Amino acid sequence: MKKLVNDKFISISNLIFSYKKNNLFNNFNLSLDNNMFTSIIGENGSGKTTLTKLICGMITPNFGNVFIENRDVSKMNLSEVGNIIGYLFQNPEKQIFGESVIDELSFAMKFNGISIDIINGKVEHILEKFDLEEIKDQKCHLLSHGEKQRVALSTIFLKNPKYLILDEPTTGLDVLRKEMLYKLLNNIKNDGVGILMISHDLEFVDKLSDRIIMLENGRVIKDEYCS
Amino acid sequence: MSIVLKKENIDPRVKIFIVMCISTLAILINDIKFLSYVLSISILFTVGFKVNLYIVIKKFKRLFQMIFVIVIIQSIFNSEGAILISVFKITLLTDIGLIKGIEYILRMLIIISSALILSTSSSVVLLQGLLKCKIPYELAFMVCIGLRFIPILSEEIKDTFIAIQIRGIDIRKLKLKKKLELVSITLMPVVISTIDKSKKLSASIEARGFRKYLTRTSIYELKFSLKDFILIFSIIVLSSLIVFSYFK
Ligand SMILES: Nc1ncnc2c1ncn2[C@@H]1O[C@H](COP(=O)(O)OP(=O)(O)OP(=O)(O)O)[C@@H](O)[C@H]1O
Ligand SMILES: [Mg+2]
Repeated sequence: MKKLVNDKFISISNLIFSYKKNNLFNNFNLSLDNNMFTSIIGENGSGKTTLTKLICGMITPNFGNVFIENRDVSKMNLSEVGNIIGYLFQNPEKQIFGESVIDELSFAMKFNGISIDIINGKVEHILEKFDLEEIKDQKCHLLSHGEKQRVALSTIFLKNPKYLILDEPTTGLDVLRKEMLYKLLNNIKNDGVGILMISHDLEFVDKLSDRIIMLENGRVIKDEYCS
Repeated sequence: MSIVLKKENIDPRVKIFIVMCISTLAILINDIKFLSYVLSISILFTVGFKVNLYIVIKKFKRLFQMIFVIVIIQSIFNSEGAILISVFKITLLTDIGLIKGIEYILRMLIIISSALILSTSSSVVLLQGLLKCKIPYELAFMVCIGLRFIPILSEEIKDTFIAIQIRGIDIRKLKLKKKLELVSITLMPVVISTIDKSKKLSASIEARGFRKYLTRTSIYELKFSLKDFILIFSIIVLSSLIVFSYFK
């Protein structure tokens, strides 16, 4: 049997996927590099979120495979994927479990049995990096949408993931915070972390991206590399 | 202007009646043979109402597993009757325990399959049916809303577990105590979002003038057709056949 081996970080081959009846992806192929900032744009319902969920193995394709670092995602545990890829949900409420912001930040590390000292150090660092010190004792469910998004994003960075998938990180951010996010993402990009971002904010996309992919009805209709 | 509505085939009252008959039988009867008769009647009706059993089985796989485990535990801790399996004088399985376990499974299957009949009606039509059975509007409305919330809730719980695992927590590797802690923590966002949703729902209902007019009219007119009468007649005949032969 011929084995597909390539140096792409993520590769999707012959993917077919449908929610119940409507067929979303039909024989979809795409590969993504690790040293690149890739953006996905496209109208509402074109399948952007679904594609990223398929990449992480949160939903299983009807046919075809997704490989992360040449490993078949369907044979990986979701938590294994989570240790390689940091995923920001479109709705940040879905990924906030802690009572206060500090609880939320230390949540995953506590469950993975990391010692308190290390947790405290990391949390401190992240609080500063994301400008969260003012709200660190706030109850999470009382935060505004933009604040929730920032908290969710900061928890992802705690793990130093190799790759980031961000589903519309700019929605609900004010001008200042968007500028901050821009600087942050730019730094991360320069650190060599690959990023896949979904966004409707074309200006933001333009400023950051090395590659822009446009989706429509589950098909790539444009795929451009920017210089 | 004319509104084209998909005509529902069978009156929701008939469906409610059938479900009530079948589940009453399931509770009344304590006998494997008769329970399996009731189950086959129930499945006959669900198939007749075009429920896709394959999808249902896939969906309720977890629930079925849970029922199975409960049955095993129930059978093991039952010490009446003749011993079937025993290890070092500790009774593991008795015939009565086994029979009770099987009866339990049958009963659950009957109730689940008959409840599926109701799922073939849209909630608006079902509401109308409940109203026509002289059930107070508020109560009927609440039942329908509750039914609508169940799939949303299960979807949300699924999402939460995905979100936890993608954070790098391997649920299977955690110790039991940590697992329980995790479940209690993660139910928080589900509960909060559910309360939030119901608050929004009630606000929007009120804003649209819920209960402003005392008599409510509906766009759906319910009328018994010949098919409905035949169905009611057949379920009555079947139920009485079973009841009479069981209590003979
Ligand atoms: N859980 C689901 N069950 C059924 N259909 C779904 C589900 N999730 C999404 N869809 C459908 O799949 C299609 C693609 O959805 P998706 O969320 O991927 O769109 P999107 O490109 O992320 O849109 P947006 O820009 O609004 O976020 C939509 O038509 C949507 O209705
Ligand atoms: Mg989306």
